[in-house]
Amino acid sequence: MKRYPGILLIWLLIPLCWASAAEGPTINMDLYQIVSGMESEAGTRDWQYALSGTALVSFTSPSSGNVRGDIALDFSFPTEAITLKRAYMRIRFPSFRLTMGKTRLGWGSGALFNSGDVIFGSTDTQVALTDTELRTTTAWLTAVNLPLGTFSFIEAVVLPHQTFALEDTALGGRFYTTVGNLKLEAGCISKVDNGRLYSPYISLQGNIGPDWYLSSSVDLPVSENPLTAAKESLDISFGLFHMVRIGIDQTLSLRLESLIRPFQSWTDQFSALANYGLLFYAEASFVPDNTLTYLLRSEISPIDQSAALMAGVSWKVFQDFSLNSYLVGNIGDSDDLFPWKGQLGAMVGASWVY
Amino acid sequence: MKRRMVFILIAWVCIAQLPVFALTAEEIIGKIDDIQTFSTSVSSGEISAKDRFGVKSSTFKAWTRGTSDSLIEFTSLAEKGQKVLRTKNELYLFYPDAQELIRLQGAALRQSMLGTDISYEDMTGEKDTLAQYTAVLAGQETLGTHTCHVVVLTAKTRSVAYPMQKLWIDTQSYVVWKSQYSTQSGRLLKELEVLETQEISGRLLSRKTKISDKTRKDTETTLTITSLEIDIALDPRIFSLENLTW
Repeated sequence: MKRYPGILLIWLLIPLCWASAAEGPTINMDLYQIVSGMESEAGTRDWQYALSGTALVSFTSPSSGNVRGDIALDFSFPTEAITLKRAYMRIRFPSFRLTMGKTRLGWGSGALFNSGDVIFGSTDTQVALTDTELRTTTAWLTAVNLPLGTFSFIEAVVLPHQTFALEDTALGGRFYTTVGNLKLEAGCISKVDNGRLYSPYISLQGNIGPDWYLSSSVDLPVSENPLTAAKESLDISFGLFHMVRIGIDQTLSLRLESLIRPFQSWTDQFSALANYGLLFYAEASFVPDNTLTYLLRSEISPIDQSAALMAGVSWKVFQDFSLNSYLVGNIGDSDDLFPWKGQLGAMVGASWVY
Repeated sequence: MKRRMVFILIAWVCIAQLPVFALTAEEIIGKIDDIQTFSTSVSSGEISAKDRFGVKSSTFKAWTRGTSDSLIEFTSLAEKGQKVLRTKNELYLFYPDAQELIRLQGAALRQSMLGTDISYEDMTGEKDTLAQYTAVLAGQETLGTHTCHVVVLTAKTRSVAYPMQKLWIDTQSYVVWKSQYSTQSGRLLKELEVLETQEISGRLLSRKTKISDKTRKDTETTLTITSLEIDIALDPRIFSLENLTW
């Protein structure tokens, strides 16, 4: 573990070398006034007020040449925590591309539920529905991308384990191509999580009027019966996305995703930690002009009949400055996946990029 | 003899005028499409939207090839590094912060850029207006110092954004100095005016265009093409996923 700070420092210093040649830092600041209320055991409602926010400071290299990089620090208030969000460099060789550092690889398809994301995992429901991007986890990795044609490539990735033990290193690869109007992506990662396991996945995308996407993966531990493990871990994500032009320049975007785990629970388990066999994610976004966006998002658990809801509006008032407001709340019993608990939240704030 | 000379003179004047009057609306529209059709192009520009709160701008670089391939990279602060690759049947979006590659098809191909009046289709090379509209020549008018053909376009299908268009087309250079976009019933929705032009490879093309939304007060969008090269050699890898995600 003593090696960790040293390695971290080296990784930080490498991108900072060209951070000095960057076009200047970009700061993305979000500040929110939060008013939330929760029902106490005595039946009274306790109201709270807080000021919260984040500032993402990003040093990006110029968008030219064959070496690029980005380093981004995330400052959170009021905890005053600083986290390294991204720190990577990317090198373009004549026949392949190398990425090293802390970044994200987007395997599979899906905004919330993506069974193809076998590196970071995109099947849990612990997300902030007010965030623009629902999945932003990054990890230290080295990846090689080998183009096979205009719309095809192979990608290999190596991720060190938290213990830095060589035998616990994660290795993976994927193949991405298009066949007619269909996108086909398949890959596998081998990682250590209570023993080594292999997680193959497949991801497809096409159009039937709306765009559709389908991903599926399983975890196959080396030490267990693969068939039993496959049944336990099999999950399938399916999504539909459609944009509708209303009038001349108004746009309505609709997204519906589902996560299907055939061998998990299909009856109410009366537990907020239950692994249910079916979950939905629904999103509707209406853009009446180039300054306003109305957004509705919901995670739905049909088996225990609970849901998390978010309604928001964003108004781009000035150049790179927006006023945002959100209402969030759950609908469900106290032992459901999305328990009500009498909790309601309202956020009003601003976003500024400079 | 004198009467005969007058007749010959009138005949000559009529013959001299013949090529102008002989142009049909379809031929005029065909000429505009030819002028605006490039095998390849590289451009950079700025889209500015003005309302009562001020001006909001986005800048971009764009590469186009043939009838349907285009790559747009946004260079303004808030959208920096976001790219859109459009092919005939697909639209790929790349968000650098999330390293996310999204493939879209269907209706997304017809969406506008950054909520403006400019569609991704507008960014690509070949224009085929007559496939979508029926053209009728409504005469000539003088617009400022420009003598213009006035052509009215009526949509053949419901898939287009504007059922009717009225164009003022320069009789010499075929620059469309002004366009009005209306509903089927004739209600004016948008007006487009070319404010500045630039000559590129012998063609006179718009450099600065103002788009006014006639359904809203005090709003207008300006598209400025700050640099443009056409019919040049482009690396085919520009229109690949490798370049999109770079």
